[in-house]
Amino acid sequence: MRRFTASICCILLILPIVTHAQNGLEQLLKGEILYESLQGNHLDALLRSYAYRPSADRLSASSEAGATDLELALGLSSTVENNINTRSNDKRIQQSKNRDAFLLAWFYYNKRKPAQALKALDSIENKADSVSLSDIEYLRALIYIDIGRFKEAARLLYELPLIHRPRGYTQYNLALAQLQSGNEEQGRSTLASLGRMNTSDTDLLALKDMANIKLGYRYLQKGSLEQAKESFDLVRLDGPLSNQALLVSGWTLFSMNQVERAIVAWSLLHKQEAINETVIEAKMALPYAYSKLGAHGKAANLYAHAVELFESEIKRMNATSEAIRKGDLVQAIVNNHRAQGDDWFLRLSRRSEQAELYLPLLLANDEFRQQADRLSQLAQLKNRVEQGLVRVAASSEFARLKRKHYDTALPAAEKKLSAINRDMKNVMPPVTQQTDTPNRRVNMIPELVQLQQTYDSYLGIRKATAEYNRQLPEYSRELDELSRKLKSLDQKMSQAIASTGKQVEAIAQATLDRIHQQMKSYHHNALFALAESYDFATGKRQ
Amino acid sequence: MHTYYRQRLTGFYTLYIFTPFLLLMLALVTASPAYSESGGKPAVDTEALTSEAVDLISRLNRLEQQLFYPAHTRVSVFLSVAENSQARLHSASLKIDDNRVTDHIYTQKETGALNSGGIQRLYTGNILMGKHRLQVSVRQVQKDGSVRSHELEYKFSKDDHAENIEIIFDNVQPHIVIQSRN
Repeated sequence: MRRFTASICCILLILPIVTHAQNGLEQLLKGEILYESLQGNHLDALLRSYAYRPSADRLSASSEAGATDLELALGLSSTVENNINTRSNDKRIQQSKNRDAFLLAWFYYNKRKPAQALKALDSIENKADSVSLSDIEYLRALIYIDIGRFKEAARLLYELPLIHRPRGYTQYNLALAQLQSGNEEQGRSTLASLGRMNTSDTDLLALKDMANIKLGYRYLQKGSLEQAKESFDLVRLDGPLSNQALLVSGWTLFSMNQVERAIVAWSLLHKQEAINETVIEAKMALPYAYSKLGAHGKAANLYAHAVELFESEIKRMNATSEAIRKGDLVQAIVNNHRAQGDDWFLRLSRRSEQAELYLPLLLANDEFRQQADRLSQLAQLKNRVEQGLVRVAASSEFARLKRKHYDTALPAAEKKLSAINRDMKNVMPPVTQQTDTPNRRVNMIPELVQLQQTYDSYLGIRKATAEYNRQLPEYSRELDELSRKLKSLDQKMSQAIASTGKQVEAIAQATLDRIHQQMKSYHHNALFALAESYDFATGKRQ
Repeated sequence: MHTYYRQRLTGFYTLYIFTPFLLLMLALVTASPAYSESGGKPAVDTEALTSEAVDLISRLNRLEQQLFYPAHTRVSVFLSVAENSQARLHSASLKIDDNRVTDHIYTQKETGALNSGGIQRLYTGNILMGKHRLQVSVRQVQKDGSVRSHELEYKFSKDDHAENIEIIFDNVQPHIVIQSRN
């Protein structure tokens, strides 16, 4: 669901840039910003948009060039909030304020700050102007669900015009609101209709699976096993929720005394190598089902396999804990700073040497993910700041050399200009022979025309160069100031990275400890179950 | 029956077995209403640091542009793909007055961004005021996987203002358009 909201924001990010495209340089600027942001390079896109305008003009830059979306992508919500509050009440500005407030509300909703999201949403004035009322009401309903105002959320979602409902998502959220507000029948019916939706869209198919799983659980809670099984059966086997569906479907069948069919479902899970909650559960459930059928030898073998697996996982986990204590995890995230955008962890988890860090398992923890995101962003920024320091040093050296060069080159250029001026006077006919207007006179003599052009060109260059030369001391002063500020920021960044790194380590360690405990408990249970199965298989127990 | 599951199956067996797992799964499939509003700011104020970094780096970018590429010598060349024209670009190269100034090989992400309306800054450099010749070569991957090159020459005159030139690649009937965008 959060991914969907993020995609809405991305669409909104592009829209203002595309729809308000202008001619010339402005269009090139917007195109450049779009080029960077479409590649997930939000920082570069924002820097592009700021680079063209002085900071005093940032407020209009924010609204016109889609900078608000980029600021939010970098987590600069206070900047956006300030921009909204300080902008004038001019009608055109009001429209962009409304749009920005709407984006800010989505941002806070995604950051799980519903009260701030609601405040941003309430600040939208003249609602129909720039943001559609349906979009506002849809977001309001989602926020209501977050803060437990389910009845109001259900009413808002139900009343949304059909045409403006984001397909599938409205239905799912409506079902949630109905179920949570105690309207069980309607909630189940909404889920059932969503679970049978015809679609080939990947996101909607995943949502459809989610609806079927949710519906299955509702039936389970009610004790309607048959209906629960039907719902679980509708979940695709190649979808992201297939593991959950297989596991719970197996338990449902088991409860209906259809043990053989439960074995089929669990066998599919049992074959998987990835270690996650569902697979671990299946490693225990499958031998249990075999023992229920009296196949104690088979059950003993499977329990033995589970014991081996848990032992090796416990060893791996100990090694991981040790690596985290040594700082390997934080180092891996920090060193991965070149992976721009939101998918830094994908690149990191693909690197084979990181396999022992249990990254996918850790990233499933929201708190870890948030802190790791923050660490990654800080590392990326620190890298830019370090690059900035190198660039400042190079620019200062360049400015120094330029000044030195112009100090010697400009007098020589002045001499050359005087020479050209003399040459022009030499080829100029005497005043008495001139009978025509000055322009016509000059045009008649080709050498003079060429000289005039060369002279004009030199004059133009001299003017521009003199201006540039005059600015050089100012550039040097600004560079010195930037150098000081960047050095200070670099230090602050180092401290922030160290502090965030410690938090990341602490959360990772706590998460691993919890899984470690679980694994030990599974290992313990598997050992006992193995002993029992062995006893049954060898006839020591009846 | 085995101890582990016998214990778990006591009582209302179905729900009892499911309970721990149900709780986990329900947490996964439900958009939980129990989100807590985070109170104060985190120990590290990432937003303030980000804001400061963005501000300083953007100041540096502007300063560098003024220092290295002053308007009276600056020339920038941009590349875009024509609207409603999806192209699989392979690479592009530029020559100014017969000097090779840049070559670029496209990634999938870059091509996607260009096809969605993005404009790439291909080159920024310095030239003297006066007449100049730009030679553009854009290579495109065709349906059969072969690479086809499109070339075009453009003459322009540089004055004391920054010169901005846009190369537009149109894939409908593959060709290049070059225009000044000052």
